[in-house]
Amino acid sequence: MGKKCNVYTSEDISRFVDKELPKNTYHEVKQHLNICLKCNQKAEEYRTLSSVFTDHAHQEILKIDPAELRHKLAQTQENLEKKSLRNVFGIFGKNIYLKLASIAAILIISLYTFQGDHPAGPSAIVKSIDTDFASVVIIETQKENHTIIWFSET
Amino acid sequence: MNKIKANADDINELDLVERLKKGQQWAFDVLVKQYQNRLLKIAYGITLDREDSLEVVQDVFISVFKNIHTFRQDASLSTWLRKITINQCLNWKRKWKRKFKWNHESIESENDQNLFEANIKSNDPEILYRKKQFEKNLMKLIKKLPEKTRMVLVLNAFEGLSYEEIAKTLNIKKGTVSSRLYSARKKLVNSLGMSNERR
Repeated sequence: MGKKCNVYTSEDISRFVDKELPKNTYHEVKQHLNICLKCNQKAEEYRTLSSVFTDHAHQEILKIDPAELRHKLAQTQENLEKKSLRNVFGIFGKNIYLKLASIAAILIISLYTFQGDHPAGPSAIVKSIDTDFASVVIIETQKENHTIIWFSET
Repeated sequence: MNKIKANADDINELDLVERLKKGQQWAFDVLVKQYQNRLLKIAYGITLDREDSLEVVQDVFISVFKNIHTFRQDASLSTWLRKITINQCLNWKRKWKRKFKWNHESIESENDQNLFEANIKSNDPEILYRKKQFEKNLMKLIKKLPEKTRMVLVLNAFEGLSYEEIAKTLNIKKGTVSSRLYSARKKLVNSLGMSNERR
C-alpha cells in the first residue's frame, strides 16, 4: 500500500475520474485499476471528495420562498417603471429654464418665418439667450432666410 | 385555469423562454421551480453560506426576468443561468469581501483513510459519526481553497461539466481546469490524511 504506482500519476487518475483522458489511455487506466490497489484507492478518494461535497451542498441549500421572490420581483418592476417615467420626463428635469427658453425661441422664430410677409431684414441674430449653463443664439441668413439655431454649453 | 398555461413538467426550454419573454408570471414560477436547486447548489458551493446563496439565486432569477429579452439562445438556458449565477456570486464576493476572511478553524487531523473502506451505507453510529466528521473537515478545507479553484471544483462536482465546458464558462484554458482540479484534490486528500502517499 505504501508504494507509489510507477505507471500512472495522480494527475492521470484525476483526469481518469473526470473521463478526460484520451479514449485509449482511459481504457488502459481502467484496466490498470483492476490490478493496482494504489491507483484504485486514489480514484475512489477523488470520487469521494466530489460526492461528499455534492451531498453536503444538497443538504445545506435552502428553498426559495415563491411569495418573497414575487414581492422582490414586483419591487424591481416598480423601480423600473419609476426609472422609465423619470427618463420620459427627464427632458424637463435638468436646466428647465434653458430648455423652455430654447423651445420658446424656436416657436417664436417658426411663427415669424411662416408668416410669409416678413420684411427681408438685414438682421442676422434674431434672438440670443444666455444662462449660467448655456447660450442659444438664433440666426437667420439674409438671402435665403434659413434659420440657424446655435447652442453652446458654457 | 389559464388557456396559455401548459403543464409545468411538459414545457420545453424554447417554450419557456418564449413565455418568459412575454412576461408571463407563470413561466417565471416554472423557471424557479425547475432551476432553483441546481443554481442554489452552485451558489452555495462558491459562497459556502446558505443565506447568501439564497439571496444570490433570488437575484439571479430577478435578473433573468429583467434581461430575458437579451438571451439570444445561442447557448442553452441552463448554461446562461449558470453563467449569471457565477457572476452574481462574484459580485456578491466583491460586495461582502470581508466575509471571505474566513475564521481560522483547525482541522482535526485524524486519518480518514479507513472511513471509505468501511461500508458507507452503514448505520453503525461510529461510522456515521466519522462520516459526519469527515464531511465537516472536508468543508473546512474547501473553504480554504482559492475561490478560482473552488469554482472549478463546483462546476465539475455539482454540474458534471467537462473540462472544456468549465473552461468556456470561466473563460480559462482547458489545461488550467485540469491543473486546478488536480491541485484541489491533491490538497484535500493530503490534508484529510486520506492517503499515506504524497505525490
